[in-house]
Amino acid sequence: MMQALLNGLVSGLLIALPAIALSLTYGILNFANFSIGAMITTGAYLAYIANTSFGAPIVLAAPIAAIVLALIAIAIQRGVYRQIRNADHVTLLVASMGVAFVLENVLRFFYGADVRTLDVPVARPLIWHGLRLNHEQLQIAVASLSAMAAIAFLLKRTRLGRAMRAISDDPDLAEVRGIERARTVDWTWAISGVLTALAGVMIALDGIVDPLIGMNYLVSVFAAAVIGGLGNPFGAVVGALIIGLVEETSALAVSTTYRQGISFVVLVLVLLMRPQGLFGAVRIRR
Amino acid sequence: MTVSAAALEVRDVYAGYGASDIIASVTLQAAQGRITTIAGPNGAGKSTLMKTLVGLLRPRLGQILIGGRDITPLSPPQRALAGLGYVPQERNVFKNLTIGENLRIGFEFIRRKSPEKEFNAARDRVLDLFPDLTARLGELAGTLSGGQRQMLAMGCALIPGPTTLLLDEPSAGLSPRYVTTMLDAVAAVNRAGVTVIMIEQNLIEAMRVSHDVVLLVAGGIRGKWGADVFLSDPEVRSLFLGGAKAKSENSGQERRSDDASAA
Amino acid sequence: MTGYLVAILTFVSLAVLIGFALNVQWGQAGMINFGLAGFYGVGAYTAAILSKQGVDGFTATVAAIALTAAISAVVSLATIRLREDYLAITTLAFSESVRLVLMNETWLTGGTNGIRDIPRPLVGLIGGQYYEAFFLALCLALVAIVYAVLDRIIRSPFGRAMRAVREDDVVAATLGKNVLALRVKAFAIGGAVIGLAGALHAYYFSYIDPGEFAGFITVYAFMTVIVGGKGSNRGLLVGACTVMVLLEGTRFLKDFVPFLSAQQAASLRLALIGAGLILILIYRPDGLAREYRLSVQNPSRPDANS
Repeated sequence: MMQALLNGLVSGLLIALPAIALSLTYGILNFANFSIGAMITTGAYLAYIANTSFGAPIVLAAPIAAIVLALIAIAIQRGVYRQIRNADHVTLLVASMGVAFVLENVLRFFYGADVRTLDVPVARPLIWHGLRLNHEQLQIAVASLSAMAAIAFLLKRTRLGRAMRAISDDPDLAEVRGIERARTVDWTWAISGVLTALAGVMIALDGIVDPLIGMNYLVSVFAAAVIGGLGNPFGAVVGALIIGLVEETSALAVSTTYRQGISFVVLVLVLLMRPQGLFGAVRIRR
Repeated sequence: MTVSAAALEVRDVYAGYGASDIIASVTLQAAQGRITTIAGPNGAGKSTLMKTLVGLLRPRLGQILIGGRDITPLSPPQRALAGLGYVPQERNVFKNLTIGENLRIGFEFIRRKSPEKEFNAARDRVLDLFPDLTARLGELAGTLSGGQRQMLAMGCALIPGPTTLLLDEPSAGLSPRYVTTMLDAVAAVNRAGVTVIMIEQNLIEAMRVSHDVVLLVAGGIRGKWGADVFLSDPEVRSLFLGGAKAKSENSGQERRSDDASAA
Repeated sequence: MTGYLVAILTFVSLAVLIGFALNVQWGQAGMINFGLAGFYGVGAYTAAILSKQGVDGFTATVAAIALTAAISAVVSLATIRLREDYLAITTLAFSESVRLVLMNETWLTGGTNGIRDIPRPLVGLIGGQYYEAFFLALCLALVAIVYAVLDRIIRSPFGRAMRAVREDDVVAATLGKNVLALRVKAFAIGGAVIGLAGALHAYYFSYIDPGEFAGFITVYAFMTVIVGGKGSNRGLLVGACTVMVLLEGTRFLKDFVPFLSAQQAASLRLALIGAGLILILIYRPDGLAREYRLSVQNPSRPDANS
């Protein structure tokens, strides 16, 4: 049981990164980005390319993947979402699904459906009072916590972070106060790209690289973001931890293949009982 | 065309939503260093005019100038950088950000290069004007009352030091005590050299601080008065007190050309 | 060649049926469904499993329709008061969960091996030789019937209420429309049509596996509806044909570009479909055929009040 809680915590930390990314883009662009799963996969493949094709060690491959995915995300924003910005948010949703489809199949085109693994040394797990924490989990925890600290600092203490929160709160007023929306949106996508790429790399570290790895986390990520109240990045972290814990502890009773099914059930329960998310009330609407 | 001394000038502007213009052929000048009030009945298009000035609404035709410079193609952030401050009537603060953060945001994107010291000085000046806010800098702006939000919004618009300030009904929804405080603040800001253009429904209070009045009816300018004589003008009286609305709207159409010269 | 044409037309009929469903849910009621593939799978597997148990084709199809409609209603209930994003998320999550069940509950669904030898309705009566043609005729007849039924619904007071809810559910609610019931019904009607399409899919291929009910079905359906013009059932025919031409046309890609493997050609096709979807959203958001509307350009003046 303790082991399940520990695994759940680590898994939650992993889900938290894309969940934060989803909340940031939702808050600023006002639509749920359905390509987030494909972005995770793309991040994993980018690290795989840097790692195996160019021989970069993982500490170098991960930031390379993050930067490249950030640039790809900005390019998609400029090439796709900005082009249809006058449409309603439902059109943007559909467009993001189209983006996911393109990303996934471009990866398939170049790398097929084969299962690949990163080239990293295998290390012995840490054992402490009978609790096992393997090396990958430790990396996930450290990387995720540092990324979260960086995001918190960014949002609370920097000009860009305040611009992002201001646009999320009231886009018209933000413009009147001198905030350049297009530039802030680009940065938001860049951050979203970095976070999802890191998640992709960590998923790949802990297991394999294949075209479906992002898709396998999509429901969990959405459930986490909804529990936290869509658009609230701090809530998304708590939502992710809840989802991680529920998924891992439920594995004691239900087959692990139903991980996403469990998230679906949690998602529906939250929507029925507290649709604004657990922290929805914190955000002031009028 | 003579060189204008106007802080803000609107030349033959048409604007609205979709296919229909809400304001048509609006021409007006707001003199440097004065308070100009835009008066008019409900539905006259006052807020539409204000949004067009700020840049949230693109005019279909016409030009807008600040200090003789054409700002029509500029986006709202660029207009803010050009010295235009704006206080919307509703949704005028970032509710999920603290009061301190609201003030900082008001400053930092317009005065990008200014050091922290200047921000602190500017913030202190605003807090001198609205001392109620001082103790609550760490609280979310959404927790403020309507009147306090109005003050914070005004502070946010003032903090970067605009040359021209646009106010959309600064006294709307305020208790009588706040109305006086607010309009006194407007007068104080103006004395410090800022040109003010405001929409105001509370005409009696507004006339106390205004210099000029422009009357907007049914999307067109009906004329310009000195604040001291505005309320005693028989036409104005009939419009606001007599309630002969239908008649006045018809005559508004005919008088439009005269208005341009009157403005 | 005739056989190929018959097959293509059958695919088009299925695509049109799915398009009809999405058109009711999204086009008419404004409810987004990213889990179409899952609902389609429910319909197909219900028909397949019942037919394997010896239930006759008609009853099994009715059961597939009823079950898919009922599940649609339940899923839509969960997000009924929320913005469309939540329904999109929930339906997608539902679809993923369906896929998991299809893959893992081997006792019921055959797992990844799928279900083979699904008995085709009336095959004894028609004979194998003409069955493909018969099935196409059946599909076309069903398309015509569903079109007629949906057309009636769209023109009925219920249809108008549905569009009113789509445009603004607050206004619709103040007019006394029961928004909740309306939306659940609209989603269930769409679900019923998807169930029918799923059943036909199972019978036509007489073999199904979980891989057939993945996200690309949903993308095709959206492509069909968007090309045809959201809300227009007549435009759908254009949409379905365009998508099919794109799909089939790009199938020959590997003949022209010999260095592509079959796998690469398939990926390239799907990527092109995704790119096509995006391009249409950017350049022709109203599709090639528009929904007929009495359009006063923008009757509301949101800001003329002060």
